Parts: sequence; structure tokens; C-alpha cells
Amino acid sequence: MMSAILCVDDEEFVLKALYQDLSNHFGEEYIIELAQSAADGLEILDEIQEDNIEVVVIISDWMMPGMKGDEFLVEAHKKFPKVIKILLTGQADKDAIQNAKENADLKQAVFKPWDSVELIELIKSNLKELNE
Amino acid sequence: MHFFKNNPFIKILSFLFLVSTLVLSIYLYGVFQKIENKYKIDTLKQNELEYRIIHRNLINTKKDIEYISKLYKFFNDNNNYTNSEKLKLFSGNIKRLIESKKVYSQVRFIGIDGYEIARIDYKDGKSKVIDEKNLQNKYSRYYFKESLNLKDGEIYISKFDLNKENAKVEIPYNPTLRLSTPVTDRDNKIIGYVVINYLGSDILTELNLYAKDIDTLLLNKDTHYLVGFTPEDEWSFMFGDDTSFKKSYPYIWDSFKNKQISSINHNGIQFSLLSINPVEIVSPNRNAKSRREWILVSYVENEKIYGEFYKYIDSIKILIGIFGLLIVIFSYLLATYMKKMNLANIRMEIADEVFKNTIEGIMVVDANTKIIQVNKAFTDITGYSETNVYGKKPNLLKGEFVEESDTYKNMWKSITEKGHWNGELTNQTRFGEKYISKLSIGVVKESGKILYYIGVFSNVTKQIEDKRELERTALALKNSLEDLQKAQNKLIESEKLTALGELIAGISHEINSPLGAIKSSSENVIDSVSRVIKEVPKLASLLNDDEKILFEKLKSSIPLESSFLSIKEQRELRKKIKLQLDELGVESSRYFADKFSQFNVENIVEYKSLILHKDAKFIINTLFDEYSTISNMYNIKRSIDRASKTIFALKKFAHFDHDREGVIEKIEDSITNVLVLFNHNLKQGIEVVRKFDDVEPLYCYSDELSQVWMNLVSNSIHAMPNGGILAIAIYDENEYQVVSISDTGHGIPKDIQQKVFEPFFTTKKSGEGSGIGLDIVKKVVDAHGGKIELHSDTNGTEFKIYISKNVGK
Repeated sequence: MMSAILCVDDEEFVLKALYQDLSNHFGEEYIIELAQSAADGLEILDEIQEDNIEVVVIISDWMMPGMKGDEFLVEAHKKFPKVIKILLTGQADKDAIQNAKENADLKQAVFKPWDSVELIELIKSNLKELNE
Repeated sequence: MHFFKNNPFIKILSFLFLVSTLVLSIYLYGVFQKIENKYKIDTLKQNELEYRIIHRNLINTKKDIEYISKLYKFFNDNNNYTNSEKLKLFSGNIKRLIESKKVYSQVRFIGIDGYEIARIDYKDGKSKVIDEKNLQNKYSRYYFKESLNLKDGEIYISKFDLNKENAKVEIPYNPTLRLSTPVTDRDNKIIGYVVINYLGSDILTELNLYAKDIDTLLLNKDTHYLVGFTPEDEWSFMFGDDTSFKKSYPYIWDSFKNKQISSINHNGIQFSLLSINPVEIVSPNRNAKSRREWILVSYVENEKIYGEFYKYIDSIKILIGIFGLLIVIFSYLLATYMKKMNLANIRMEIADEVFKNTIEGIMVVDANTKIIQVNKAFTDITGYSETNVYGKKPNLLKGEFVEESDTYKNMWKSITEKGHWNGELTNQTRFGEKYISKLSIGVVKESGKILYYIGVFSNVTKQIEDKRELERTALALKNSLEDLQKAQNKLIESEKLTALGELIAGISHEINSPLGAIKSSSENVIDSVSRVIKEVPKLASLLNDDEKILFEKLKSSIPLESSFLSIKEQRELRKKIKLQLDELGVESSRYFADKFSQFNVENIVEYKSLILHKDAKFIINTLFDEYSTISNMYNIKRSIDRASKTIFALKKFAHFDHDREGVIEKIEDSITNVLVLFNHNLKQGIEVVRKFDDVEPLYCYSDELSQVWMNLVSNSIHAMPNGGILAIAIYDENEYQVVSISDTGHGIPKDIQQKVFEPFFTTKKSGEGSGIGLDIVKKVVDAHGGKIELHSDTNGTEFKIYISKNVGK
């Protein structure tokens, strides 16, 4: 069964950077899915579930047009409670982080500009934890 | 009346006219009096003259009768003649006498028995001795009876009346006076009487002869007219007519009665009356009983007096005219002079009042610089009274304060050269108090020589202090204003900072996102490049020539800038490619589809041999690494562009140009800039609809306009917490370019729509905004010669900002 990592951000260059980063480290084992909005993200989640692909990590921006990152994670959490959820945000909204922590089992809020190594390490350690 | 009151000429003329009229009247009255008096005297003199005539005639007659009497006695006593001889001689003498005298109509000698003894008549120049036989007895006649009472030497004089012949009045009238006197013999015994008829007409003619200018009446005792106003009056009493003077002029008569002489003006006639007693003239020794009275009345009618008076006036009328003219000229000259004098007097009075009452101190100093006069204000200011300073030098006012020597030097120089000096001096009052005197010195000269110095001064200590205080206050105000302006700028800055604070969340995201992407991408470049270096030589050994060509073809078909495919499109592409790969039965179709979708290469069948290659993953990976290097670089570039844009917008916004240098710019630019800053905030459910017409760039204060858009966009975002549409339009309208910013927010309540432009008005929570926003908007728009229109209801708000195209022109 294939696994996937979903990245949600309204900025394309962020998604591209994330894609490069993640595909370098996880490209062999994981499918990297990109979504430019929360709505797209939820759609992709449904879609890949139909394809029998398991989403294991969601990295989401917080400030996006339409649904905000924390709300998106809360929604995703309802369907995929086990998924590792990470907020990748430029500006921390404390209420939003708190919301995500309480209602979406948020693993970590990573602040932009992020450090690739740290992000990859964070995902790896969480994946390891998940697999064990 | 005003004219008369204020015209001295008329005043003087009227006065002089009245006075001279009065003087003239008095003078003329005097003249009249004199004339009247002259006539009065003339009447009196006339009376006197007439009296003398009567007197003379009567005396002559008296002498004649006495002579006749003596003549008769002489013959009678002479015994040398017979009686008839005596009579003959007597008659002859008498005949000659009366012929020479011509005034006696009859001379008789009547014996004591009443018989005429001798009678000589005279008529028409001839005398006649009457025969003895014609002689008559006259014993019963009144004159004889009267004569009987006479003593020796006494003379009887009859009434003055008309002679009667045979009891009838003789015609023509023969006014007659009878005189008689006794004749005695040697024994002094009366033997008879001489009786003479005196022709009254003679005396009356002579009276009239002298009545030229002045007429004279002669009245008898009963005031019957012997000489009357008219001939009709005369002798009328002889015919029983009772016409008389006392009846005609009772008032005059009453005032004269019992007097000897009188003069009176009555009924337009000047009368002078004089009583004459003829008995007294001819026979002064007779007793009072025998008294007889005639009255002389000389009169002149007033008309005659007036006539002379008028004649006099007529003779002096030219003189009066000249005098009148002189009065007019004199009045005019006097009026002119008085006017001058009056003006001078008024000036003097004004000067005096000013001197006394002005609040400025005045001192008059003579040529020897000694004070000779000061006013009350002088004492009020300096404390020195008049007596303190008279004869002293003005420098006593200095007290212990001495100005720089130049001050006095300049003062004297100015006074001697220009005749005046103005300035301020520090002086000391008598009580030692220091004050500043604003002094003005002038001079009074006469033929170039200075007579007096006039010093006018006031105590300006307080004014100067006030002025200094004012200057201090003004300076303080100026500083306050500057502080206020600084504060205002700070406030504007603070408002901006508040806005910035709100933006920070978005901005930091806007910055951090590209930063993150740059960081990540750059690391990826390093990774992919290092991998490519290792992989490329290995790849060459893995591929045969055909595969090498195909690889190069694939490589060259990859568009280097892949951004024209969106994430979504790329995902769709990946799905398509995967389906193709699945059809080809390629393992790891998802993996290859992913890479090919990145390459944006849809026709994978062409590269089947590479995909189906045993080292397909290595081959494609190597290509991907190569591709990644470029792709990451582009991503870095895009991220940097994005970050730069944000930083630029922020910098542009944060910048505040206090010097306000305008620029020529498209309005669109500053709006776009602001929208960049709000990019992040607008993502929260707000759709931005732009309708920018292609309008000309215009002169504007771009930074300030940014604040306007900042405020309005920010307000719109705040008004739409749940999203909505922010529509921004730019278009031309007459001399304006209009920017319409409308939202679908909750609107501004009607009751505060007018207040929103007031400074510090806010509906936001404290900390969200100072409330100065729309005030700034208004100020900036005003500076652009524009206006603001606000339309707001519950469906949203539209601000229309009109920017004049003519600013800076």
C-alpha cells in the first residue's frame, strides 16, 4: 500500500520548494501531493483514499484564502486521525495553533522560513514513531 | 437759521446794521428835534417880532395921542387966541399930523359933557376938519364912558374891532382901535378927552408882512380871530359867529390859559402863543381892571418840519449809502478777521486742552534748555510737580540712569539738523522708580532760531514688558506649534505603525514564505547539483547511443520555466501520464508519472524505451536532478521577486515624505502597491475585483495617496470579517481621476457617516486604530484638490476619491 505526504500552501513557490525537498528524501517511498488551498487538500485526501493510498503526513500553511490551516487540519483529523499534522506558517496565530493542537493532534508548528533539514528530520522522526 | 448762526459776516452785519440804524435813528431824531425846535423857536421869535411891531406901533400911537393932548392943552391954556382960533389952530395941526401919519382915521376932542368940540377925519390920504354944525354928542358911547374913568396922563385903549357907521359894520372892513386920554386945564382939571381912531389895518398889514415862513394869528381876549387861519375866520365874531381858537384847539388853549407865553405841538401843528396887554404898553399905570388882552399865535404845520427833515435826509442819503457800504465792507473784513482769530483761538484752545488732558507727558523747554512748562501727565509719569522742575534742566529726569553717550549725541544732532528726534530713554521717577520713556522732541523756531523744545513722552515700560512677554509667548506658541506638528507627524506615523502592526502577521508570512522557499530551494540545488555530478558519468555508461539520443531529446523537451502549469494542472497531467504508464504496464507508474508531470512532458510513449529501461529510475532521477537544479533556481528567483515586491511595498508605505515632493505617477501604481501589502489579509475570503481604466499618470503625492488607499482598503477588510467583494475602480471624470473603493461589508451607520472624517473618531477597539485614519484621508485628498464621496448602507460602503488632474500645475 502506497503512502503519501500532502502539502497545502497557497504559494506555488512554497509548494515547489517543499516538493523538491520531500521528493529528495521521501520520493522513493512516498507520493508527494500538493494542494494550493485547503479545499483542494481535502479533495486530494478523498481522492487518494479512493486510490487506496494512505496519507501519512500533512504539512499545511496557516494563512490561506478560504479555509485556514488549523481548520483544514481539524477537518483532516476527523477523517485521518492518525496522520502526522504539521503547520508550516509565516506568522504564528496562537489561537490557531492552540486550536490545531487541541482538535487536530498537531505535532508541530514550523515557522517560515523553515529549515529543510529540521523539517525532514521532524517528518522522519514522526514517521518512525508512526511505524513503530 | 443755522446759516445765520454760523455766518459771522451776517452776524456782524446784522449787529452793525442794527447799531448804525439805531445811531442813525437817534441822530435823525436829533436832527428832527433840532428842526422841530428851530421851528418852535421860530414861532416864539415870530411872536416876539410881532409883539415888537405891535408894541412899537402902540408906543408911537401913545406918543401921538399924548402930543395931541398936549397940543390941545397948549392952545387951551394960551389966552392969546380966541376959542375959535384955538380950535382952528389945533385942527390945522392935527390935519397935518394925521396926513403925515396916515394911520389915524379920526382925531377928536370931546368935552366932558360928551360933545365933540373938534373932529378931523382922514380917509384915502386926505384929512378934513368937520364943521361945528356936524359935531355930535358922544356921551353915550362906550369909549367916552370908559374915558370918563381916566385920570390925567392915563390912556384908554378900546377893543380891537371893526368900525361901525350908524350901527353897521363899515364895508370894506375897517379894523379900528380907539384910544383916548384926558386933557386938563391949568388947574389940572379935566376939560375933555382926545379920542383917536387908529387904523388897525395898518398894524395887521405889518403883522402879515413879517409872517413869511411862519404864520401868525392875532386873537382877542375871547380868542376870536383878528388875524385868522383864513380871511373867513377874521372878524366873524362881529357878525355873531362864535368861531374861536379855543373852540378849535381846546387842548392848546387849556395848556396856555393864564400863562404869558407857551409853545406846544399839537394836531400836527407847532403853536407858540404870547399874550399881549396893550393897556400896559400904552398906559402902564392904569389899574388891573382896565386890562385888555390880545394873543399872538405863531404856528407852523409839522408837514413843513417833515418837509425840511426829508429834505435833510435827501441831502445825506448818499452819505447813508456810502456808510452802509462801509458797514458791509467792514463787516466782511471783521468777519474774516474774526474767523481767523476764532480759528486761531480754537487751535489755541485745542492745543491747551491737549496739553492739559493728554496722557502723554509734555514739557516745554526754552532755548537755554530750562523747563518752563509741564503738564499734568508729566507729573503723573515722572513724579515731579511743576514747581519741582521749573527752571531746571530736563536731564534731571534721567535720575541715576545714563544712556550711552551716543544716544544723546544723536539726539542733539537730530534735533539741530532735522528739528525733531524720537526714541526711547531709560529714566527714573522722582521716587526712584525706573521706567522707559518713549520720547519725541520737536522744536519751535522763529526766523531760524530755536525758541522752544517740546518734549512729548509716555511711560512705555509696561508696553515693552508686554511686548517682550508677547514675544516670549509667541515663541512658546511657535515651539508648541512645532511640537504639535511633530506630534501630528508622530500620530500619523503611529497610525501607520498601527496599520503596520496589523499587517505584520500578513507581511511576515509574505516575507517568510519566500524566505523558506529560497532556503529550501537553495539547499535542494546543492543536493541536486552534487548528485548530478556523480550521476552523469554513470548515466553515460548505462545508455546505448539510441537511448542517449532519446535522453537528450527528453531533456531538451523539458520547458525550463514550468510555472505556466498550475499545481492543479500538473496534478491532472500526472493522472493522465499515470494512466498511460499503467497501459504500458510500467511498474512504479506513479513515480514516473510524478516526474514526467514535473517535466511537463505529456507524450511518454515516445520515451517508452527509457521508462522501460532496467535502470529507468536512475536515468529519470538523474534527469530530474538536472531539471531540479534549474527549477529550484527559478523558484528561488520567483521567491526573491515576491519577497522584494513585499519589501518594496512595505518600504514605500513606511516611507513618509515630509517635504512633499510630488511625482508624476499612475494612481494605479500606489493602489497596486497597497494591495500587495494586503495580499495576505485579502486571502481571507475577500475577492478583489479591479477595474482600472487606462488613465493618464498625474501629479500626486504618491506616498500620501498610499495612506489613503491603505486606510480605505484596511477599513473595507475590517468591514468584511466573513469575506466579500472588494471592488476597486479607476476612471476619468471631468477634471478628476476617480478611485472608487467599495466593499460588501456591514456599512457605516447613517448617524456616524458625517463623523467618520473627524480626527480621532473610531469605531474600532482601542489598539486597533487611533481613529485618525479618515482624517488623514480627508487631508490628503484636500491636498490633491479633490473631494470624497461616501455612500454607505447595510449592503456595503463605497468611497469615491476624486483626485484633481490639476494639482501641481
